[in-house]
Amino acid sequence: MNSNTVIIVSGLPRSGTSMMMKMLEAGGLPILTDNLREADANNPKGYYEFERVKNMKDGDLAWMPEAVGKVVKIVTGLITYLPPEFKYKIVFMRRDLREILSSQKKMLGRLGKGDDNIPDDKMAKTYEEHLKQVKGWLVRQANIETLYVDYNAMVNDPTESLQKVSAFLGGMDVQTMASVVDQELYRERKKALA
Amino acid sequence: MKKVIVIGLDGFEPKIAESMMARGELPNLMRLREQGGYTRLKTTASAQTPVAWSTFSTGTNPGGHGIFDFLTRDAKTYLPLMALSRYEQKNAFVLPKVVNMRRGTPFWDLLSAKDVESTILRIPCAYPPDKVKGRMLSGVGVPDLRGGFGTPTFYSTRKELHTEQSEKVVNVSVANGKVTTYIIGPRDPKTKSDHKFDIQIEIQKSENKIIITSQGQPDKLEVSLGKWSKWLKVKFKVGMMQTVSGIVRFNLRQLEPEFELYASPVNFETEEPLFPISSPQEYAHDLAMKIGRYYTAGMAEDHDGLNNERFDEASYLDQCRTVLRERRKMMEFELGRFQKGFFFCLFDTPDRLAHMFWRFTELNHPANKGEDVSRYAKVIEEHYRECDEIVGEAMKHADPDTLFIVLSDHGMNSFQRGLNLNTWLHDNGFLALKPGFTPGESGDFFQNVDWDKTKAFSLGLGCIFLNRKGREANGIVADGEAESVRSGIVAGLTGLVDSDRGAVAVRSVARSEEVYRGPYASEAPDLVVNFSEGYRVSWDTPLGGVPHGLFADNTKKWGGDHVIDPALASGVLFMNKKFSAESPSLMDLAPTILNAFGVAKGDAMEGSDLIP
Amino acid sequence: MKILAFDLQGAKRAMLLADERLENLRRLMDMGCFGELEGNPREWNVLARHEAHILTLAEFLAQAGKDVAMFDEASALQSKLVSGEWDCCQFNASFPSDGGSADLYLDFDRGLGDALQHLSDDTLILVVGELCFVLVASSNPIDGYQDGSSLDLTPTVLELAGYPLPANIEGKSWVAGMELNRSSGLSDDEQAMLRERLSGLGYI
Repeated sequence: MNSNTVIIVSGLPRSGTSMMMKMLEAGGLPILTDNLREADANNPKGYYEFERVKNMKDGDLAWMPEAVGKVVKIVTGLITYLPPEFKYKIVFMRRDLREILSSQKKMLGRLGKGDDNIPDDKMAKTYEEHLKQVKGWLVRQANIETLYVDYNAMVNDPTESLQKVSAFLGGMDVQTMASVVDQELYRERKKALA
Repeated sequence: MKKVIVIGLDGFEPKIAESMMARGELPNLMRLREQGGYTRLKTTASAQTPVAWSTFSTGTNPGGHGIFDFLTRDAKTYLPLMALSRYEQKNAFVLPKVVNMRRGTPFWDLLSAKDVESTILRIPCAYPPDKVKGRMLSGVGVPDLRGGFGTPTFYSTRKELHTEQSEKVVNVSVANGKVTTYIIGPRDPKTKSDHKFDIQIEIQKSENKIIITSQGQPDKLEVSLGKWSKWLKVKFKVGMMQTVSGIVRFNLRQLEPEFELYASPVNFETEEPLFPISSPQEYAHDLAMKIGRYYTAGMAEDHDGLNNERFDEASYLDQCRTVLRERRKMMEFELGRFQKGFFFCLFDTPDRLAHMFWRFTELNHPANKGEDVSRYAKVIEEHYRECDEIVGEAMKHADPDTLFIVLSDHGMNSFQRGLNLNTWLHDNGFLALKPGFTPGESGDFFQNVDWDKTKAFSLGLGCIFLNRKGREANGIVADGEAESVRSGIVAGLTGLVDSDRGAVAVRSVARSEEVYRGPYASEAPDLVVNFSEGYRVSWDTPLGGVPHGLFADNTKKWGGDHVIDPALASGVLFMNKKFSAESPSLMDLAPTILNAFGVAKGDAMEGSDLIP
Repeated sequence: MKILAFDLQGAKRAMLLADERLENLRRLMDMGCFGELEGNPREWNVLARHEAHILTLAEFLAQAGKDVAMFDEASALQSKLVSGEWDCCQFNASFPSDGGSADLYLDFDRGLGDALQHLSDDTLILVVGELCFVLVASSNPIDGYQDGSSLDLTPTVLELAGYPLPANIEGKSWVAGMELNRSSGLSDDEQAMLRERLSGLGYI
């Protein structure tokens, strides 16, 4: 891999980004995280957050050299602040928007924040437009390669998805990574369907 | 000669200049008069900035360069068109191109061919700029970001505000001392809506000022009550990948009881103008780096703001002075490094200022409405003195081997009464309205005109076009009939009396071939109306209105004008070398300048070298 | 609607869509939609398959009696476009397996610019690289980023260009069921625009 490359896992909140982080960790990639946020009921495997990412908007990019050769999780809203002088490989998680919204609602509930009363249709449209903007930006960046991974496909057949990830990032231990897929995490969808 | 320096003073009126010189004022111009000479300079038909300066550039009558008026008509639609340049786009997939409608060969092309360098600042009708050896900054004809001659925006908390000529009105509301609004940018051809740039205004009543916060430069801009702000650079996102930037200034009209703010037309920004405004292309920006940001729009002076009473005379005067000052900076910077070749700089302000302040020199002007006019009665003369000072500054760069010229393209006169030309054509059977309509019920753009029964129509500043068969879309006047229609109009309009005033409003009407010849004469209007002093075509006529009544008082602040009989609208000509002063015309300047460099005049040029 | 397609075999997304200097292509991206494709990069022009036979975009149009021509030389394409007598032109170029140098892409963009000069507004333009594309048509209701299968491209193109889609096609049109844009004449407020443009003169 290029010595200047940062690996990024991105996607909307609740699209499986933490699971992907865990899998990449299991696959042997070093993770850039500050372990500030502990695992909780929403994300039993932990968040894999790196707090300083949130300050990219304000120009805090001093940590970037530290991220070279590592994996860092960056939400879609911050992706366009990536400085152009590095190369990036982005594993971008895709998930059905209705599932994402339902999962987000549950999370809000658990955090005691209640429903924000924004209709799902409207929220879905906003997210769709946001994703279109971000993907449109990504596709125009010469220093960025993006692999889109479907959350449902990955959960149903981890090996096939992870082989693509392995090919994208360069030879990884697919079997160990696949063992990470924790069917427990998918309970929300099953409940939603019930 | 090693150098030729030409200072253009747009609309500088000989009668004012002569009387001031008689009083011993304008010392630098008097010195020029003594060194070489002074005379009135014959202008073009019609006496308008773009027409006259194009004749200066090409040495031909308007038939040789194709500019006859600010406006012309689209023969297919009868709609008025901007006559100076045209946007051409072959199809939806390629970029539009600006094409200069001033044709002919400007004398700097001939100089360039002989390796004589030129520095030409703010020349009208060179948009896009001519490729010149040296540098050129385009003047009149450069649009604002919306593509027109200039559209300001007026922000107000007043609900029932009428939108006046050429402006946008944005109704705003104040919440917690803040106003959230936007700057209006170019129109999106796809969505047909305006691009917008968000701004937030914080009102600081105790200090009589506002702070405009935005993503522009600077991010916080202060505007004081009654004052002009500095420039704000704004950016409009016009496509997913394309942004267009521009610059805008503000004038804070009032803070209470109502909040009112004026924003100038958004000028092209020199770093990345929508279309090139200089040759070489980067010259406009190089100049800005040297002298600071400057107005790039062809019509730099915000006369619409004053005409619509969005700010007062003092603010307009202040703005004119800013424009004059920045133009002077340009001139001084370029003259400072000017060694040899041709130099030109045009000062538009004498024209733009006199249009708006003329009324103060006439007690009986209808626009005064009982106002005390003494306060501004001397503004024009004061401005002429400033122009004289600029001339003196430029003269410092003239050595014995320099031909130094000061000229104006036309003069300035009173505009008290307007003639509704289309109404006259209607009343005399040349223009027909659709059944059931009478004059006054027809808007601009010849709304409700019955083209199948119309023989002639007027648009622009005194142009009359016949509705010719085979030329206009619904033309009815056949070749054989054209002359009798023209004769009828000429006979009827010549000597037309304004009965309210008992004065002759129209001195004569020129047939096209009497004033125009050459390759583009066929594009000219069929007739040009020559008004008397104090008269002009009415406000409603240029865009094709047919209002009620024949004559109207001009009650607008734009109270002076020069689009009258060219014989009454001569400009001035001063030279530092003796010249034959036998009725020289604008056409003589190109041959005179070329000859000063030993370059033969162009084949199409009609004038002659004025220096014996 | 006429169809002009550029098949740039092996042209890489990071070169084709990410280089700001490709000004003609950039302008087209701004006007229409663009994005990435999944599947087999060589199947973008596949409409349907019957056993061993593959029905391509060009073949489908030829069967419909249209004037369809293939080019691998820019000058030949240019002459055909200038003639104005064509329904579908496809230009084929092959890029090196590593994508090639930026100059190759700049050359393509210049050629594209020349070709654009000779089109009428009623033309659909498609540029296809390796699993990436740009699609422009006045009827196209989609703008900005779009992704999907390689196989979706040809049905989308045909639908936008106004051809009825045959049954048994492999991909699905992205604009199926959407209202296609029709170019409209001059709107009412264009008069207001005209007035505004001309009246800033002062004299009016």
